[in-house]
Amino acid sequence: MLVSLDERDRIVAIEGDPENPATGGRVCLKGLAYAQRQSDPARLLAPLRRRRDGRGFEPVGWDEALEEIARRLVRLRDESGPLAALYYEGSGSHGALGGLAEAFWRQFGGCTRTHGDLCWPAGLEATRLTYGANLHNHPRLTVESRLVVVWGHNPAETNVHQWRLILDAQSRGARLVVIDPRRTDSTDAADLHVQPKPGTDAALALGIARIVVDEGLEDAAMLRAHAHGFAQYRARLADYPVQRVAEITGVGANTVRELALEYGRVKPALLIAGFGLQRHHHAGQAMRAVALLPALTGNVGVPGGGWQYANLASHCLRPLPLPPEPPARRSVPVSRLAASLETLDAPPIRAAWIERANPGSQNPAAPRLRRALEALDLVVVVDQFMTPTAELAHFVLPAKTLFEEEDLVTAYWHPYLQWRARIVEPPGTVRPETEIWRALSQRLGLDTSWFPGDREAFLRGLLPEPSEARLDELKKRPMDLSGLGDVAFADRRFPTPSGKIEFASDQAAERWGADRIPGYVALGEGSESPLRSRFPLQLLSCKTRERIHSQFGNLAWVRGIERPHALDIHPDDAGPRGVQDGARVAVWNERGRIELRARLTPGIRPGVVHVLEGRCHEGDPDVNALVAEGVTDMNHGATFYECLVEVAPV
Amino acid sequence: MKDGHGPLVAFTSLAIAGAGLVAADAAVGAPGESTGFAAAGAALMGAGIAVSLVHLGQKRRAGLAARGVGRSALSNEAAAAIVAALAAAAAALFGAAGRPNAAVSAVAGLASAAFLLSIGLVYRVGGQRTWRGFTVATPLTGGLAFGAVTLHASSAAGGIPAETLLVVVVDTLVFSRRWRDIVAMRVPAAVGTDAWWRRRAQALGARFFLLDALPVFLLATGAARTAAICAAAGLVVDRVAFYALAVQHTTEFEAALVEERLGRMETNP
Amino acid sequence: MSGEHAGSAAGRGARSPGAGFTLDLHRCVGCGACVLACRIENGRTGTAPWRRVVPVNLVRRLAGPTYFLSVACHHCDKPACLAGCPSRAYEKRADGVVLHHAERCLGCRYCEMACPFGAPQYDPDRGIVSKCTLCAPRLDDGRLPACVTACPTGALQLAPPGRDTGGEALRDVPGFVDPAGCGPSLRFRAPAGARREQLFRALQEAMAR
Repeated sequence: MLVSLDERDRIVAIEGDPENPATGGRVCLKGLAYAQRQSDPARLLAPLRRRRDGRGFEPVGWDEALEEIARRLVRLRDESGPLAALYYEGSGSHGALGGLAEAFWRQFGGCTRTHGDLCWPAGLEATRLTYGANLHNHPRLTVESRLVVVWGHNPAETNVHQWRLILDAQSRGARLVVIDPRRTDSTDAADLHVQPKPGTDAALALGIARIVVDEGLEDAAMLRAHAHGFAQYRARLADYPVQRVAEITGVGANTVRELALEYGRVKPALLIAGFGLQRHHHAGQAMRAVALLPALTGNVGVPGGGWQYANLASHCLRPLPLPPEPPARRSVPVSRLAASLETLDAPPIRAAWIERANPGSQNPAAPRLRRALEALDLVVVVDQFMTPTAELAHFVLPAKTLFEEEDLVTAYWHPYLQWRARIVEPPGTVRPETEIWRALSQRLGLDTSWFPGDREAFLRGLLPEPSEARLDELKKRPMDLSGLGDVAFADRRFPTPSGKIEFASDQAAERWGADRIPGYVALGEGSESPLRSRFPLQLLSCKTRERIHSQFGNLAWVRGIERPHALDIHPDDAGPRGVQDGARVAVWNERGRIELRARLTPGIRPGVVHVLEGRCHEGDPDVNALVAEGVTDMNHGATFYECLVEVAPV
Repeated sequence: MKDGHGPLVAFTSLAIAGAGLVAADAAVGAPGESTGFAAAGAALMGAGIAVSLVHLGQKRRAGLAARGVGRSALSNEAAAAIVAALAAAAAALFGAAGRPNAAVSAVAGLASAAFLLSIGLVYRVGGQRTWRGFTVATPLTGGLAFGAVTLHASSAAGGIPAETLLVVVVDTLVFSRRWRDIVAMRVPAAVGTDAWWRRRAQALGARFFLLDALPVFLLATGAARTAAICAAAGLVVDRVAFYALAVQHTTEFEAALVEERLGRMETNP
Repeated sequence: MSGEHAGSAAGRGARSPGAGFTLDLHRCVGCGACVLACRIENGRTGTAPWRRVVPVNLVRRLAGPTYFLSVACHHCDKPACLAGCPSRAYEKRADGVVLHHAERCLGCRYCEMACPFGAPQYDPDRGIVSKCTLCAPRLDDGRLPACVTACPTGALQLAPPGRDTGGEALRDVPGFVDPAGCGPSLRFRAPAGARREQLFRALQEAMAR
């Protein structure tokens, strides 16, 4: 972004970076909203300590706050060992310097951490198992597609830069297919909208593959040269005749055929998969099934084609210099944080340091997690605003914004590494996290040299080619340092064990105990589950363009344009339950219960209900109360979309 | 603009009452009684003009309204108000000096009628769905009706003169058209859910009752003073309802019409 | 038309129609970036923005398409605000831009009542109205309005004066009409895509009846 400030350091203009070839010099509404976020009156500007009477917070100086935090951490370590402290970080503010927290905790003697994440890990692993790396074509090549299939993704809301490119392709005559149980802004523009039951995508993918192969539309030459395990995969397809697929997915057989034939015939075809596909227990295998379709049809390594899920080409920085790992390490899956806090022993978790995250709202089983945090001896939260997580803290330390500390930022949709300049001093007494860690380390008598004074020099040292010249270039424009070129796998070299695209993966079995060949498995809590006799509706909790999870929605500007949270329910499901449009309803299952307004939505698939996720202000429903602390079959992801509920008027 | 109504209601009530008196007096009043009505009319119009300034966001700049005379209906109305008030004041002064001047009185009457008409013209704007067509002439017809009824209030004679009845009937005819138009108007639920709109038939009916029907009855039965008070109340109700039932056309309004249509298309494909 | 700087055509001769916006209903996703950009550019940080997004069929009734109308001021050929203003505080420039002169405004709010599109907004703090200026200072500088620059999908474009946007550009769409003959300069491109085009045409026909 290009940002202009006035003489009082307030933002008076924000524009996209014209040097970024992927975003084309544009910035979305969230980027623009930084103009308000930067100086919002609710922004925390000084440390806070919970009052002794427990009611609210009082201001406290940094020295006093850090002194007390240090003292309590040391005592905790003496009594229970360093693993009694949980360090939890989220994706609130990306940058290489975020990893420096480790410099403190390693010297502290270790801590309990989390592994996995709530967003995308199953899909990452599925792609890695299949193609060997998470890379995809440069976004600008979208316009060369003749067919774009968007699966489990809503780019009109969640990646508007990609959406623009899809529209460009469409205006050049490309067809757009969107696969989503809901009607969204993306499906509205589609030439074909397919609405399967949530969690049945593996069957749909394999059904498409079966038709492609039956019609002889597979790219035989490509498969001969670059596929591993195709024969076993092809044998698996026998289990997915179109009638069975239609029954499982709820998509008409004719539609499945139409989609399969189109995808098999039109070239080049681009398949863009979203995180929505992989928020359930069988995510990894489902993603593998879908990810294999471009390989099947010869759409890999060609401009305008490809499997597009994540592009990690920009993740090329050298590792951060850090102290050696301590002997004591413990890690819990992030999607089971509440259970971990409740049940961990030897030692139990007694303290939590939370930064760049709002787990009290955003994690599965959020109310249980909040209760577990409340029971801790010490909770420190570093944030820009008083979130529900911060409300539970003993100390809330004010966090910087992206304009207030320089850093290197990687991406996951384009290959560009970006330099993020520091353009303004942190307001109030706000300190960047690196300074907080330095000060805390100092108090504990730890080595503070791990925290750079000269951040520029430090960050330069992380570049693949750590020269002044390189950094100067980077300051002028985003750079692709991967050396990989615009077309992923153009050279047909796949860093898998076989060196080929793995239709059958031994690693899937060895690492994850999963079937070598992907297949459809009905969700334990899904469209075929016996639990439906009590909770017949599948709940999705998707994203909106106006927020990033629990960020931005608290700003007055965004509240002025946002669409209210409501339960989207099909009239066929609402009618028998006596649910009227606009009426208050309860949504519940065994794990929790929320109340909110209902909105009769003919565009959603009957049997599916939807509430937007992301709690930003009072009145946003606590939807994660309904979500189980499940873990995906691969790579420790979360299962937000595997959730059955019932709905009734209040 | 549902807020900021107070000063507008006050201004137009006072001004229409005053101009209505003067115009009705010139049209159907007895020559000898002119003085009091002219003075009352001038005072009411003057008070109305003063109150109208309260409504302005930049009161100091009120004089700039002169720039739009000849082009802006609002400027014309302001000019007409001043002319009518001054003319009525002049007529009152002549009368007070013991030399009532028929020509000046006639001018005051015409100026007041013109002023009443100009109020109606101000409220013919495409942006307001309920301020359209010839029925915005109700400031004129309603003002005259009020004036005609009130003229009779101080008269010793009972009954209702034919001219007064005629003026009231004209107002009834014009206003009934407005009533029908507004009651029949469909406003999408998303835009027109407030209590005033839902009860518009009753609100407009009350105006008709208070300003036309009841005064005629009261005059006929000899309760002339009550008739005048009733008509005054009717005038205020007319003004309150006028603004309360204003439905602004906006893009949101159009979109709401589309939503309604879609709802009907859904049930009758 | 897209990406062209408007400065070349601004203020040179009176050609009709004047400058205005073109909104591609297929590309507009109602994100509100234009609204925020207008706020930032014009300092409307604590007051109502000059631009707003009006959704059509947000609940996605199957009978019709869903699209978004990003509207501000339409710098009409025969502006109701200008015609009614008692202090002549409005001016229509040669390039079509309708400007409000704050120093002449009485705060009578007549223009607010008269405009069928909700463009003028009254600021109680300042006692005057204000509205979209088509970013006239930016136009005069050869730049595009802030909303157009910010639109991430390129749905909102500036059409320079004198353009004839051709047969594809619609004056009226369901949700946007000209009820008072003001001649708004806003033009639309209909939504595309096999399904949405069909639904849009059906809706147009239904509204015409």
